[in-house]
Amino acid sequence: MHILSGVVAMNEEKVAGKGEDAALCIAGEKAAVIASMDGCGGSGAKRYPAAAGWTGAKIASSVCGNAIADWFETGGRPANGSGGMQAEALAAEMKTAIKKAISTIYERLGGAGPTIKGSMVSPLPTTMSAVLIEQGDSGKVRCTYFWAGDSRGYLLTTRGLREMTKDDVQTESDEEDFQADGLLTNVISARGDFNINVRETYVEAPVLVLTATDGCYAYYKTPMEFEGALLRTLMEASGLSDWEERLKTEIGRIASDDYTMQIAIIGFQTFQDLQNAYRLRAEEYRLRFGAPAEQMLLQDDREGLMRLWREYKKFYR
Amino acid sequence: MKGKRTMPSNYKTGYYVDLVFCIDATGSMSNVINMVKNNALNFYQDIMKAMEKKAKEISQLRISIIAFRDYKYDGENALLQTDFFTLPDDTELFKRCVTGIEASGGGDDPEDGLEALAFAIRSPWDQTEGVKHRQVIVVWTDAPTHELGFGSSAENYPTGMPRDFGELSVWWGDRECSPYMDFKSKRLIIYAPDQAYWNTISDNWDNVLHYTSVAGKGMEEYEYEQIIDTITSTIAMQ
Repeated sequence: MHILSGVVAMNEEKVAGKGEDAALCIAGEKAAVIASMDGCGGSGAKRYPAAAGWTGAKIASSVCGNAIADWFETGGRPANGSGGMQAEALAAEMKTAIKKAISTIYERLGGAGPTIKGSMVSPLPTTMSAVLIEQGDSGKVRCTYFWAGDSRGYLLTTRGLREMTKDDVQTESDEEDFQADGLLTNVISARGDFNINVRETYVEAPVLVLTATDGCYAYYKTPMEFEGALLRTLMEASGLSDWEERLKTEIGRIASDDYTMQIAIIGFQTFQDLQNAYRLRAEEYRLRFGAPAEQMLLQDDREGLMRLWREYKKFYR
Repeated sequence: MKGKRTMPSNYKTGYYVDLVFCIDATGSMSNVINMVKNNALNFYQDIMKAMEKKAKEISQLRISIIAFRDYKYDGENALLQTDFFTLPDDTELFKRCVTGIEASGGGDDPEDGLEALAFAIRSPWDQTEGVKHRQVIVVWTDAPTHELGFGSSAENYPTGMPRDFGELSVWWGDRECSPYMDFKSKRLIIYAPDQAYWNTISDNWDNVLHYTSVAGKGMEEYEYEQIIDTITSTIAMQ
């Protein structure tokens, strides 16, 4: 029996054949890992003939995903879990694995060449969000979130959505936070000078744990709407596959980028159980945030939206 | 619910883009100048198409040109700066302006590229509130730069220039203080030799992309499509 009772997964390209995201989900009896990676197309736009013309961004997200898979499978973690290893030690181990994998590939590709310089150039750059899910003590589920850049990890409980990661982006105010247009301050790259942030939490099952690239959350008119989309499509769906399809359609309609998401379903016996568990929250979200935000958008009420965002953030962050 | 969303969003939608092209207009640069002239009429569409391929949008595009040479040797023709042209409305004006630039002069090998950069940094950037900006300076030159103030003995040398490279670096700014440009929005793309001060800039300033070129060869190695792709990638880059 797996620790996960199901997975909703998507790894969609905005332009066919040009996708630079990658995804990962491996589940065992005692532990699982989910991850979403977004190769950075701007600073990683260089194409490598030795890698079938793939861009540095695409190579980076794939290699990062493979490195996390190898890291997870080391020592039989799917069957045994991490054995209570500290979150920081897990992050350090993951960083070593990613760094080694990316630098090895970079050397094989022959480096970036001498023609492009500057602070905006990163060889093989990617963002990453991963969650190690394992059975914790006293019946709780241990979730260890790892991330670099603006790929995010979330927890969707029956009280609402919580962003468990903090983007490595320069933001100085709620206004900037709302607009989300800061430069990334930390991405994985072959330069090696990146951080893997880590946060550990213990949660009661049943619960949903998510990783997502910015294509999933960043194109809504307000940051609150991502939860609205998750819950609305869940309530409308007839089953797990239908929820996945509805989510792909919903996000694909608004995203101007590749979008990749993994939703780990923990502790729900049936889809009906899952739907029933979130029904109240879906209605609460609609009344408290969804409908008011819609009105404020129509009326161009930016101050109202900021007030609503601050209220929403009390639980969300 | 979704069908009613008619107002433009401020959350990751179209960029308000200001581009400043700093072009070395000395004798060897006819290749780049002709490239800009030949593509001026299509420039807006080419940028839009390239952004579409990246699944990104531009809500407003303005462009300004700075043609620079050498204050000591080129007198009145040492530097020309235009206002911002809003494209596509001002495409004809933009075309007429770039048509007037001829590759000539220059004196010794280095040019007054740092003065051009100083003017570019102090451009009247768009200040629309509540939108996402990109302030992009693109420099084309096949020569190193003089020290700032090398041509200050010339009658038309501008007042208010930075005293030295250190002060120009302050004008460009960093995360803590960026006096003329918005730190998160600004980008500097340099097509120039790996020589002074261009290499100092790419080694030390934030938000810089430096494509190195062969000195004195007029940037023959770079093609228009490649340049459009770089500019749009830089706009889309976070």
